[in-house]
Amino acid sequence: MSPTDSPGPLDSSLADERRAVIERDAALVRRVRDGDSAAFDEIVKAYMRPVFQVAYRVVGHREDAEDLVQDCFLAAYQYLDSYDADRPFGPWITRIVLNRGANLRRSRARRATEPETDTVSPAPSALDEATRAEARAKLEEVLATLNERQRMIVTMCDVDGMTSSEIGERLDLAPGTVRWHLHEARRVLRRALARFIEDEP
Amino acid sequence: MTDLHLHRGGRTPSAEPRRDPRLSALLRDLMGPVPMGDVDWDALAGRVGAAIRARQTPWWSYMQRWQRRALPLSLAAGAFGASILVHSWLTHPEALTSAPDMVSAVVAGAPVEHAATIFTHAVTSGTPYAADFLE
Repeated sequence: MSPTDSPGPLDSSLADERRAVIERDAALVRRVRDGDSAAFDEIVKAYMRPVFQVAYRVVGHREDAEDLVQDCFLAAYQYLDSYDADRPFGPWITRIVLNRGANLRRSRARRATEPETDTVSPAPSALDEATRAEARAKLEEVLATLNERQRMIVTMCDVDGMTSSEIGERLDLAPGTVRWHLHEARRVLRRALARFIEDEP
Repeated sequence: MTDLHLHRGGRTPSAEPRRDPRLSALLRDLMGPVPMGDVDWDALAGRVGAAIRARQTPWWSYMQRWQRRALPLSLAAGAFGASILVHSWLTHPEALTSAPDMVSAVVAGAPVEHAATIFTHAVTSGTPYAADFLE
């Protein structure tokens, strides 16, 4: 174990917090399994924001992401019996989002949709519109060559600013595994987008 | 440009990788932030809840489990009922023939008690003890 992986006081409190969340989720799931469907509403409220965040990153469109969130919670409810209540609920539903989102994206690949520009306020860019469009097309092309996990990890880290530990917790992966995928994804992206990166001042 | 500190002899990075600000800036510019502020969370939670309640198994759907067996079961029940009917007609034919007498008595305006007596008499007339009792 490297020094950065050794547990400190902060890690210990995070572990306690994580355990509390698992216990809360397990209790809610037990109630749902016993027929109290209102308990699932609490699960939805607790997880819809992180689930939406992942869903949006997978499909790239707000309304599609909302539909995907609904679809994934329905699937989770339907297959709740297969959920191991000793494990955290977040990564379980995130996997559902990644799988269903990838299918949705593939099935909608023919529908040429521009990413939303009305709801997203992009940072001021040094690239002109034509170059941005070209860079975006190149980015979509290269993201399609990454696997779902790498795409999600590099987006969560480099766009949403999450740390490898946070991503690992969200995806139920070891931080080292996250870093490895991040390294690989960045390598591919840098190579593909080198021209646009070098154009930046 | 390296953002890795590698384990000796391995390829797993052991520390938080340094960000490449230029790559991050480009990705943020191209992908934009997640529009968390544009989502009506209450409405979304309501939609999910409504979809789940709509999907919940209605009680009559349990009948679907018997759908394949329904036809043979009803055929068997019908055959069983028919055999009982035939058997009772063979053993007590008066029980079947007396029903029209009772109906015609009711239609003709006879009191219900009288119609019932006609029916009972017809059914039990084959039994000496019951006939004697009624007489």
